[in-house]
Parts: sequence; structure tokens; C-alpha cells
Amino acid sequence: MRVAVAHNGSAPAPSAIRLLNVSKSYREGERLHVVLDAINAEVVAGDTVALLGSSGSGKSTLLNLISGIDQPDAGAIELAGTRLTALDERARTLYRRRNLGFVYQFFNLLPTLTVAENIRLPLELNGVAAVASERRSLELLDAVGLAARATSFPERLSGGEQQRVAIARALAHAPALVLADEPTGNLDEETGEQVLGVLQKMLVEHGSTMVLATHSRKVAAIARRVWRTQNGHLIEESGISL
Amino acid sequence: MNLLAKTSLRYLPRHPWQLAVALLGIALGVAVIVAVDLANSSAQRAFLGAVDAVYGEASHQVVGGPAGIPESDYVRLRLDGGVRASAPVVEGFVSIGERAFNLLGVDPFAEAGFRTYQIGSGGQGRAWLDLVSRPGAFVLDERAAAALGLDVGDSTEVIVAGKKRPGFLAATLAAEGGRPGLSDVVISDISSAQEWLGWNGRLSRIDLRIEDDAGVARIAEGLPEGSQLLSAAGRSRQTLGMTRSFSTSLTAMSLLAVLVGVFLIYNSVSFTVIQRRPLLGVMRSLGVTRAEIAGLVLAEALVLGMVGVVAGLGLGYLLSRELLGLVTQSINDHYYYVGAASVQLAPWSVVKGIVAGVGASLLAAALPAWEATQAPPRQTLARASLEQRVSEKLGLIEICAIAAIAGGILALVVTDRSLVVGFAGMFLIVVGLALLVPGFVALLSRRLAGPIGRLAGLSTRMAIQGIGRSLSRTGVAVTALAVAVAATIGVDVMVGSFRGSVDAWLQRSLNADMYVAPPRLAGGRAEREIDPLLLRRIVALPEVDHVGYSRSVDVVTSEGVRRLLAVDMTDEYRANTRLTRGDAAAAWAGFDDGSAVLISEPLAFLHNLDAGDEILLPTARGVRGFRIAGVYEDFDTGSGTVMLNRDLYRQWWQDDSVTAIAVYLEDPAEAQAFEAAVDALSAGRQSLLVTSNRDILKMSLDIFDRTFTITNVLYLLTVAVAFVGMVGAFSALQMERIRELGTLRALGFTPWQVGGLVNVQTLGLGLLSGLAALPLGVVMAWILLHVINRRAFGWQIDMSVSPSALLGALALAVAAATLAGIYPSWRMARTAPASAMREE
Repeated sequence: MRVAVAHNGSAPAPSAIRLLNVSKSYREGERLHVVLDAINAEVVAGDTVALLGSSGSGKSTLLNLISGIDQPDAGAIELAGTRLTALDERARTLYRRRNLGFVYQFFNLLPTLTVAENIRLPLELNGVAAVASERRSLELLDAVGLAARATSFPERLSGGEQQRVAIARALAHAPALVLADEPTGNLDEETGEQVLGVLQKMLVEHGSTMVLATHSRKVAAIARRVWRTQNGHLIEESGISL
Repeated sequence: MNLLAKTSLRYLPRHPWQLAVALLGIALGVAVIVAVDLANSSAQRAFLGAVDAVYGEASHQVVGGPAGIPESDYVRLRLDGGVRASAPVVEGFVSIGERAFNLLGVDPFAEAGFRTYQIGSGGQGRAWLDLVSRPGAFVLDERAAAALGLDVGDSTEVIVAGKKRPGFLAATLAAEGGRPGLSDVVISDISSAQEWLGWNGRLSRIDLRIEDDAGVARIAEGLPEGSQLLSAAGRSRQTLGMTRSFSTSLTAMSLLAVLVGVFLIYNSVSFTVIQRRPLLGVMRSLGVTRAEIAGLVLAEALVLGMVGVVAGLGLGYLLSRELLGLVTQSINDHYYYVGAASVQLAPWSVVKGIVAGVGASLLAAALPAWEATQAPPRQTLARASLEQRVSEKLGLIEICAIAAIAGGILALVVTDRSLVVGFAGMFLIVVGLALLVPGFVALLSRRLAGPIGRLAGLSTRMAIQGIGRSLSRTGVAVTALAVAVAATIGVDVMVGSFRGSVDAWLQRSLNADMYVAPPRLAGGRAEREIDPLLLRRIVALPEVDHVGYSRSVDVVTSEGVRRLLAVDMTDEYRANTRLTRGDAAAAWAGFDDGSAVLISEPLAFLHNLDAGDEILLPTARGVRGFRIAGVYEDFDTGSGTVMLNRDLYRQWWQDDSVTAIAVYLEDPAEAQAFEAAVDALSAGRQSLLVTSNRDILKMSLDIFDRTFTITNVLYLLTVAVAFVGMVGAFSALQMERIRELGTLRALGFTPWQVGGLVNVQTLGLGLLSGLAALPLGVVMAWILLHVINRRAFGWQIDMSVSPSALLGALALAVAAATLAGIYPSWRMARTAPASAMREE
């Protein structure tokens, strides 16, 4: 296992993610398809990691496991010292609510809520008062350049705008960890770059850790570290299997 | 309002089809329950009011046989027995103008403490004096008097069993503040009532107020032979009990409509949940817990339920006003004259509606809510996983179906009397069969897709295959609609079979050429008799070949009212009376020699009596047991009929009167001449109804149809619910596919081709619903006929399934499906593929 090192090279930073012998496989008829095979890895707080790999290589599966919306077949996952795999379903949900932010390829905004309400949702779930959550949502919308669209419904926005709202929603409650699954996969190159810029800027402002799944090397370049998913293993771009 | 709640609140108006179907399902279900309940309770209240008005505050009653009680018994009871709290009563039915009334002949001086009367303006002071001093004087409710155009002091004709008697309106009863139920009562002095009814020196009953058990025992011991002491409360209960089967069967019909409503609600709610699975998945990944998701779905159902209930209550009230007229008409036709009743808003009926509407909505939402929370969030995001889960669960669903059917059959087999268990069994079987429908849909679409595809091309194959591959949506919709269509088959076959059985029975029973009787209003009242002198003259008419005499009277037993039908059996009547139990030869021999009686099928079933048993009947010489020789086919609606030899009746009831005669003419072509001759003989003496067998058949079937009008109203409502539900559900299914259809347009499908695809699929869904409904409907009809009607009324009805009922149901399903495809096809034709693909 690699020793976690803070990216500025100073004293070791606290661990944000620890994967301990994590395995996951799916059954396809008679065949067992091993997606993750006893992987071990660690990410320190504030770091950014890109999961690079082709479709079906296990990037999304790993994100799902880290977020607790799926469970590994074996092994353990720790987030900021909390052993996620030891928690029951409800506790995992509440942990996710407080500490995680998601950005999806297909935005997944709630169509029945306005743009501002979508951003307020995680705040409200975390018990932030309405006035404060409203103020915060407007600040974030301002930060992603969409202050004028606060009362619009998502279907009125372009793809890039929707993804910027999704980023604002993911960071609204200042989560310790942001998981992004192909955040530019559904956008044109120029819009994708804009969205990545927004994401990077906001991560720096919030100091959150991020794990980003992508098949694009260009997108992966925004991360400090790059892991490749291949044949059930994680390989750091330096060439060492994790 | 929190944001989670907002997501629901805004979701439903964006899907108006689902919202409309769900609300309609709830509103119509609640409306039917509330309407039937309000109509039943209002009619029963009117019925009880009418009974209470004539029973008053009596604690007990002394009653006699059909010939009543000698007046001397009352004198003996009051003077010798010292029972001061007693009041003599003569009861009957009269008509004034076109309106019927209950006649209450009383002794005004003995009435204090039994009944209170509030005399209206224009008769005070003199009213009671006129009542006792002027023959034919009577008192009437002031609204009834106004409706008849009578003022106090006016003379009029009072018609009793077809005979006109002079009457005089001595006073009117105040409409306001008076006792309810008196609006349909004519009150006269006892002597006038005796004169009108031809009951000189006789009483119908003696009302008593007895404070203690010892008094009851003492009075009972001292009663002369042929009289019995009954509790007034018990008699009210018995009287009310006569209509219980009728109201129960209406409740059953309303429950059927609710069952259909529940399926529609379930369909709508589960559809809205399934459709939002990806959204629910997003919420779960944002940290919304399972309990919060379940709460959200249930809260949504609660709101839907409440809105539906409000609409349903209003609709139910309006509907109840229409139904009440039908219910009171049926009570008048079959049981007792209650006049016109008005709908009274009973809080309990409203509570039932609320509980049913909200409860059904929550129940319908519970399963989808549970399902939505069980799948891991990762899976809720994937549609394919849902379809896979549904396919995997088919086996489990089928096991549940078989268990439900087995439970239902068991419930029906182990009990043979309980109506409640009968209902429970029926619902279990229906639900069980309904659960088999998704498997049937999957199987059929799998099997048919290939052959149809080869014949009609790839797009048709896609449409048929799509039905089975989207089982999460289509399965529930087809099941819900199959139940709705099945309910229409069930009711249609039930009413059709019943009408067929009654028709066949009447054709057999009505074997004489003509029937002569006083007007029917008085039912089993003793005063309904043909004037003896007139009778002799009619029988002697040259057109008459031979005659069958019958006497029909009601007797009061401790277990309820029994109709006695004393007949001089003609060969024709005997040949057409079908014995369902007992050895026919022995039964007829016992009947002829007067050693036994026959009882009607309902009486036998409802009171668990059979050939060889004994039945206790109050005779003029006290209560006596009569041996039952056999059970005969009958469709009476009261608590049962005892048929006996007229000699036996004369012997024990000392009554030689004749209620009706069945006339066999020398030449059936002389019917008109006979009718004219009877009219000439009876003119000025007694009004008699002379009817041909064909007319009676028609009148009886009219009454049947009137009784079933309410069933037909409920049936049409069920059809309407099914139809609208089907159109809504199928349209919603297609609207949900608009993105997929947009993709097909982008691939090069023309609007026509996409429209064709939509229509083939909705048509397929309609056909599958219709096909699945056929066996389900026939089973439902069988249970309604052989379990529900049998247990409620004791009727034995032969089931006949007319092809028109089945074809009608299929046509309903196909027509709804055709309509359902129109809007999505039109919408697709007008929407650019790019925007269709952007649809949520």
C-alpha cells in the first residue's frame, strides 16, 4: 500500500478515502465478471484523483462503492476515518447526505425543482434554514455564472448550464468529498472545458477532495493524481499497481 | 413547504393524465361508496321513521294471526287485567288520490304515552272530537294534504283494497316539529279504520308499555289462544331486517366499484413511482433516506386521496339523491310503503368515504413505495434493472396469486352462510386471478411477437415485444384494467342470468290465462281480499273454465314475518312448481292431505330449513309446528314464503278469504270479454285488477328491472371508471415513451409509422386486458350469483353467460385502447424529434 502524502509535500494530511482489499464482481448469466479485484488505495484530504479507463472498466462501480450507494463483495472502505462498509444502509445514506457531493454525466437535476431549489436541496436535507439556504444557493449560482437563471426549471437550461448547476448542487453543503462521474461526457469540448474550469475553481475554494471518473485523458489532467482502471486493478499512472 | 414535498407537488400537475386517472379513480370509488351508503341509510331512516310512527313508544305488542285480535281481548286486558298502558291499533294500507299511505286507526283516548301528534293550524281543538264523532274522519300531514289539494273539512274518497270509502279531513298534522315518519300515515279513529278495512270488532294489534319482566310474563300467560306478545324493538329490528339483504347487495356492488377504483389508483400511483425511479435514485444518492422516500410517496398518495375524497363526497351526495329514489322504490315494491325520502347527510357515511378513499390511496401507494425504497440507489437509476427485477419476481407473484386463490376458495368452501366471508373469499380470488395477469401478458407478448412480426413487420413486432419487456408499467396497467373490465362482465352476467332465471320462473308460474286481485299495494295484509259475493259472480262467468284460489297473508313470528300462501292447487300450477328439495311425490301427497307444507327456497336457505324439518307458525289457535315436505323454487325478496293447502289454512287460521284468483278460460281468446265482464261486475263495489299472464310477466319484469336500475347505475359507473382509467393509463404509458418514440423518428420513422406503433401497442394492451378480463369476469359472476346472492337472498340462480356480455367487454377494452392511442400519436406527429428526445 502507498503511503498517503499531502500534495504540497509538507506534513502528512489526514486520509479522505481508504480502500482496503475492495472487491466487486457481477454475475452475467453463468459468468462472473470481476470488476474490482482486491484493490487497496488511499486519497488524502484535499487531493484530486482521476479514474481513467474505458467503458465498463469499473470507474463508475468504484465511485458507487466510495459513495456507499453500492456495497463491495469483500474488503472495507473508510472515508475520513469512518468505516463506510460497517454502516447500515440508513447510516450510509445520512453520511452521504452530510459529506458527499455528486456530479453526474447526465446532470440528474430534479426537473420539478427550479435551479435554485435544486441547489438548496442538499442544504435543506442537512437542516440549513430556508433563508440561509436561499442565500447560499444564490451565491453559488453567482459563482457558476447563472445568477439570472435561479427561478428557471432545468429543462430550460443548456447542457453546460445544467452541469454548472449540478456542480453548484454538489458543493452547496461544502462536502468533504466530491465524486464526479464523466462530468463532461455529455457536453461539447468547449462547454466541457468551461464546466471543468468551474469545477476546479470551486473545489479550490471549498478545499474538497475529489474523485473524478473519465475516459478522457484531457479531463483527467485536471487531477493531481491519475489512476487507471484495468482488469479489476487500479494502476497509478506512474505504473505501479495500487 | 420543504423541497422534497415540492418535487411531488410539481411532479403530478406535469403529468395530468396520471393525476386525472388517480383522482378519478379515488373520486368515483368514494362517490359510489358514499352514495350507496347515504341512499341506504336515508332509506332505512325513512323506513324506520315510518315503522316508528306507527309503533310509537310501545315496549310490547300483542299480535294475532291474519284475522287479527278480537276487540274483546283488548277490553279484557285493560279492564280485567288492569293493563292501563295499552292502546288498540288497526293498521292497513289506503290510497287517497294517487298517493299511498299507511293507515293507523287508534283510540285517541288511549294514545297518550304511545304516540304524539302535533295538530297544525286549522284543526286545533276540534280535531280529536271530529275524529271520534264523525265516521270516515282522518288526520293527515299538512304537506301531504296540500299535495292532494285537501283542506281541513274537505270530504274525499279513501280507497282500501280497491274499495272506495267516504273520508273527511278533520285536521292536519304540523309538518314542522312533528314526529318524522308521519308524512306517509293517515290517522283515523279505530272505528273508521275498522269500517274501511272491513275489520269490525277486530284489531291488528294492542300496543303496550310494560315496565318489568314480571308484567311481561303475566300478560303473556293470560293471552288467549292465537295471540302472542312480542317486543316492539324486536319487531322494528325484524322489519328493518327485511331490507338488510337488499342494502347488503347494494353495498357489495359499491365495494366492487371500490375494488376497481383501488386497482386504478394502484395503477396510477405505482406508475408515477416507477416513472420517477431515476429521480428517486438521484435523491437517494443525495442522501435522502428510504424512509423519507417512502414518506414522500405515501404523503403524495395521502394528498391525492384527500383531494379525491373531497371530489368524491360531493359527487357521492349528488349521486345519492338519484339512488335514494331507486332504493325507496325497491323497498316500496318489495317490503313496505315508505313514501318519498330525502337524503340525510350521515357523518358515518362521510367517514366511510374518507376512510375508503384515503385508505385505498395509501394501500395502493404502499407497495410501490416499498418497492422504490428496496432497490439500491444504483439500481433505481437503471431502468433495465427494474424490468429484470419485475421479471424475476413474476414467479413470486404467481405463488402469491395461487395462495390468494386457494385462500379465497377455502373461505367459500368452509362457510356456506356468512356473507362477509363470502365477500372476503370473492376479493381474494379476484385479487389472486388479477395477480396472474402480468405473467399472462409476458407469456402472450413473447409468444405472439415473433409470428406477428413475421406477418406485419418489425415495427409491429417491436410494439408487441415492448408490452412484455416493459412489464413494470404494462403489467400493472393491464391488470388494473382487466379487473375493471372483469367487473363489468361480472355484473352484466349476474344481472342477465338473474333476469333469465326470474323470467323462466315467471313463465312457468304464470300458467293461468288471467289473474284477478285487489290492487297490490296492501301486500300481505289481510284486508287485501276479493269481495266474497263478487268472487262468486266472477267464478260463475261463462268465459271461465276453472279457477285456482289463493290467499296470501303475512304472519308475525318471533323470527320475522312469514308470508303464507294458501292455494287450491290446480294441476297446471302443480306441474309448474319446481321442487328443489324433498321427494316430489311424497311432498305433494303431504301437501294435498294437509299433513305438511312447502317452503320457498330463500326461506329454506336463509333459515337452514329442509324437507323433513318443522316450521313454527302462529295460527288462530296458537303457535303450531308444521312439517316441511319440500322446498320449491322462488325468488321472493322478503324473509320467505310458506305454501300450504287452502283447507289446512282454513282449518288453522279460520280465514276463508281469497286474495287472488288464477283464471283458466274456456277460450283464451275471450280474455277481453272476461275483463269487461269483471269490470262490469265490480263497478262501484270493488276496484279489481284483471291482468293477463303476459301483463303480469311484464309488470314483474318491470319491477325486476326497477330493482336492478340501481345495479345498472353502479354498473355504468364501473364501466365509466374502467373506460376512463384505460384511456388514461394507456395514454400515460405512451406519453412516457415520447423520448423513445422521438429516437425512432430520428432514425427515420415517419409520424404515421410512429403513430402506428403507438396504436398497435395500445391496441395490444387493450386486447390483452380484455382477454384477461374474460375468465376473471366469468369467475366474478359465478361468485356473485352462487355465493353473494345466494347468501344474501337465498336465491338459486342458473348462470348463463351471453356472448354479448363477453364481446361487449372486449369491445370496451379495444375502444378505450383505440382512443388512448390518439393523443400520443397526435402529439408525436406535431413534435419535432429533437424536442421529443429532450422530453423528461
